[in-house]
Amino acid sequence: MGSVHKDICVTVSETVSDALGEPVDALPPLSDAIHTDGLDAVVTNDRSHDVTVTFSYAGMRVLVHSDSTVYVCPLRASRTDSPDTYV
Amino acid sequence: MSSSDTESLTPDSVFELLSNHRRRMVLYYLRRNGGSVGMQELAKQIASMENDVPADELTSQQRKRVYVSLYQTHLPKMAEMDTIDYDKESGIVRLTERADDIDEYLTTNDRSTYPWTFHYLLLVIAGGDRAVFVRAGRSRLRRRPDASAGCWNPRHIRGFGRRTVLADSKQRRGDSDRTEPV
Repeated sequence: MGSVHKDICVTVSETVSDALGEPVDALPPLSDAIHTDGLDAVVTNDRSHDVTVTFSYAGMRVLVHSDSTVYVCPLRASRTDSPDTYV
Repeated sequence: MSSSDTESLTPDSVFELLSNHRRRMVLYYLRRNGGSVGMQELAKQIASMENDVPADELTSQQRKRVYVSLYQTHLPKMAEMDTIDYDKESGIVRLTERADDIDEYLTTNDRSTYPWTFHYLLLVIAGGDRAVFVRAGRSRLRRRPDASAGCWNPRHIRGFGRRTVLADSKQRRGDSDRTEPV
């Protein structure tokens, strides 16, 4: 097979894990927070797409952009502060 | 998405489950290896299939990405559909009886669920009616070239009949082997 997989869900889990300083195993299932197949479909190489999905997960506000950029910030700070973690 | 023990999986659920290659690989690996496996081993084997390298030559990153993907996304989804049991304490993943529902959708033969024999039979009947109609029409429009009425020619009706027989024998030839879900 050998193809490159987008794995945006893995990127989200790892980013949140890094931001919280907790192992991925300690996080709740991402599939409880969002339809993960749908999230996969948001990310594309087509630059004409400009889509951003926002959801909360494990006490964090998560933003996923269609160019596969992931932003994470604590839920309470999401209204005023700029994102403090990105990949 | 959750459903009771007595209900079988809906076609939508089955196709949703099968729409992802990693979920197909989970089913494939479990089917091939006795129906239960440790989470770490499962991630290793799937990463090996995906990256086309032997399991002991995987990088830790390759293994970890599959592990996180299964742990955070696919296994919870499959457990929610009751197609696997997943024990977080022991890390053991098991196929459930309900996973058998998926097999109905996976066959290697080309047997169609659409009743083609009936379909062609209807065409023969409909074609017969049209032939009568066209003959009546042609007697009134004698100067019309034959080619324009060719699609309703009785020879084609016999063609439909032959196709009916062929389609029927093709269906009978198929066997009921199950395919591998990858």
